[in-house]
Amino acid sequence: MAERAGGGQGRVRVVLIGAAVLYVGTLVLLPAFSLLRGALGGGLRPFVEVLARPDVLAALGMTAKLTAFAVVVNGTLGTALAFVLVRDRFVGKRVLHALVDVPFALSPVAVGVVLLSLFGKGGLLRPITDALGWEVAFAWPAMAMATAFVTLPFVVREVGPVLEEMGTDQELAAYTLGASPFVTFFRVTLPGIRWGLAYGTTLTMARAIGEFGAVLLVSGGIAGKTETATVFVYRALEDRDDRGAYVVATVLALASIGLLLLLDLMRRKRGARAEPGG
Amino acid sequence: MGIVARDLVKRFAGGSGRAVDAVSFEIGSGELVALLGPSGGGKTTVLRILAGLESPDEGRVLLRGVDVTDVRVQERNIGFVFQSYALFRHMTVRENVGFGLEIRGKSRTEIDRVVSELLALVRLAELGGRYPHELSGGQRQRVALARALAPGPSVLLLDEPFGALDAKVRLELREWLRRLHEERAITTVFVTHDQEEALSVADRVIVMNRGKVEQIGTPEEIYDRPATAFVAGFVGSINELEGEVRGGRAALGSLAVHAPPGAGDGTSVRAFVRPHDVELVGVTSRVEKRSSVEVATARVERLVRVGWMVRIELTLDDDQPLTVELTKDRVAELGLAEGEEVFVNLRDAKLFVQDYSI
Repeated sequence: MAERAGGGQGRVRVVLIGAAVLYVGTLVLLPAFSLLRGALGGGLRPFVEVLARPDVLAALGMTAKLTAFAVVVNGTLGTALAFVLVRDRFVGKRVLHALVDVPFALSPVAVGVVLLSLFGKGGLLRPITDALGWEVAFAWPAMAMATAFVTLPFVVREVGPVLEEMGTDQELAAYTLGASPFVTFFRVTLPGIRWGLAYGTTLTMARAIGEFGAVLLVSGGIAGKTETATVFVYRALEDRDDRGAYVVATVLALASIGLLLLLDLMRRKRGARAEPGG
Repeated sequence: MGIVARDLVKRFAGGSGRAVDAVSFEIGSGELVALLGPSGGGKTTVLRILAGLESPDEGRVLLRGVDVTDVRVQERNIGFVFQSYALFRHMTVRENVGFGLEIRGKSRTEIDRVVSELLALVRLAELGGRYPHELSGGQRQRVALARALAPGPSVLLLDEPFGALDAKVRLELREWLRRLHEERAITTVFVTHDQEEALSVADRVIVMNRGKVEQIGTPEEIYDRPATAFVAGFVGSINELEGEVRGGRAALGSLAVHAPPGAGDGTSVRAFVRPHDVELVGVTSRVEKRSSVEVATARVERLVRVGWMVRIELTLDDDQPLTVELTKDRVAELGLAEGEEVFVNLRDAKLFVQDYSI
């Protein structure tokens, strides 16, 4: 009886494993294969040729620029926000807590609409930006704002728990040893949260690279000028430039895979240090 | 004077009540002093005020004769060992110990020399390259100590230094702290809730309760002449008996001892009796009650053997519980067993006149 039950369980497991492999295979591997075929179907030479096109380079460059902006802004401000949320007590803290998560819930397209209502034609802040001679909407400032907005929660949510767990004893210990608050931050606090910060930053990069909706609305999609990689793929398909779309999509996919591997590596690093050490 | 605390007051964050209430004491240079009391008694807050990690609402702190009340923790030249050890997790043992020297801009060779010397002192010379999470609790504790000593502080402050360690390591480290203190003669204050630890390690003990100093004295003074009912109850006494003065004697139920001086008839008293100050005269069925000594009868409820000692839980004939400790040989000699009736007598008791101010 026991043997038969065991055999039955074994069969169920085989079927389950098969289904899982088939499901993930169909969902991930098949499209990946098809994407690679589209991009590299003509060999490596056309692939490189597409990559060298000025509009493609400009789009990839714009994505890199926006990602860097999001990483710098949310890396610093996100860490500061995490400090405030973990260390300080003030009225409205819970509201601020909830507000940080808004970008998770809000559709990026809505973010684009909001930015247009602020900086677009007849926008609320338009008189100010016009007076200053700043070009915001349909230029990189609005795109940067959109990217920073949608990636806001990652660093806050990764650094917060690390800070919480770390407490303030290590910092106080540094003070008793004569370290100024400045030295303490860079020698004790920052190294203490570095894995949380690195993890949050990597998630920020992944999200920034993939952002489409909000950026599409505020970019105006001027080829070679305000186009990001994702917007380029969208326009290339519309223009029946299939090869261009495939090549850029492949680059985006490779970037994602790279970030994914990086995240996995960091998770393991962090896991090794997870036990209380102080 | 190494450390002077003058009328320190610290109010609770909520504003009501005082965590530290008019605390004053003086600690001589090179002394080893314990701040003893129950948790929540304010002793850690006092220690943190001495360190400069917290500022008092009122009162002054003097270190080496200098008023440091408004001096930042960084400039007080103190060493502090946290209850959690608070080692820098991303640094090796050597980096942890050298931190205080490094930020003072000491040369590499000097840092190396001091760190090696201290690691030898705490017997961790082999483990300099390890990270804190690769060490045992006792080892972490010693790293924390070495780190605190590295910049050469004039005052060493330790918050429950042995609290989180197992019994054997705790004994070892206590012994070791004592020896370290003898070698370096650095003014040392440690906080503990363990009366045995305080009495066995410190030169002097400051007993604190509910934010106030109850008594300051040598371990002998604290143990033999507790100044308050709290100290008597906290230090070594398990038994607490209630009674009143009658005819110059303090009658405690069926037992009696000398009345405290100046207490007239009818005064309510509380008596604290240490387990080894109770004399077990013998089992009632086997000894005669001698009329010359005041003895009471009690029932043996439980015998608990702890190593070579036996704790005997008794109920007096007036229903007050009483705990006695005897060696296991003595128990065998008396032929004690649970359920038997015994004669008991008090050798000594700390008496306090009941305070009816409430």
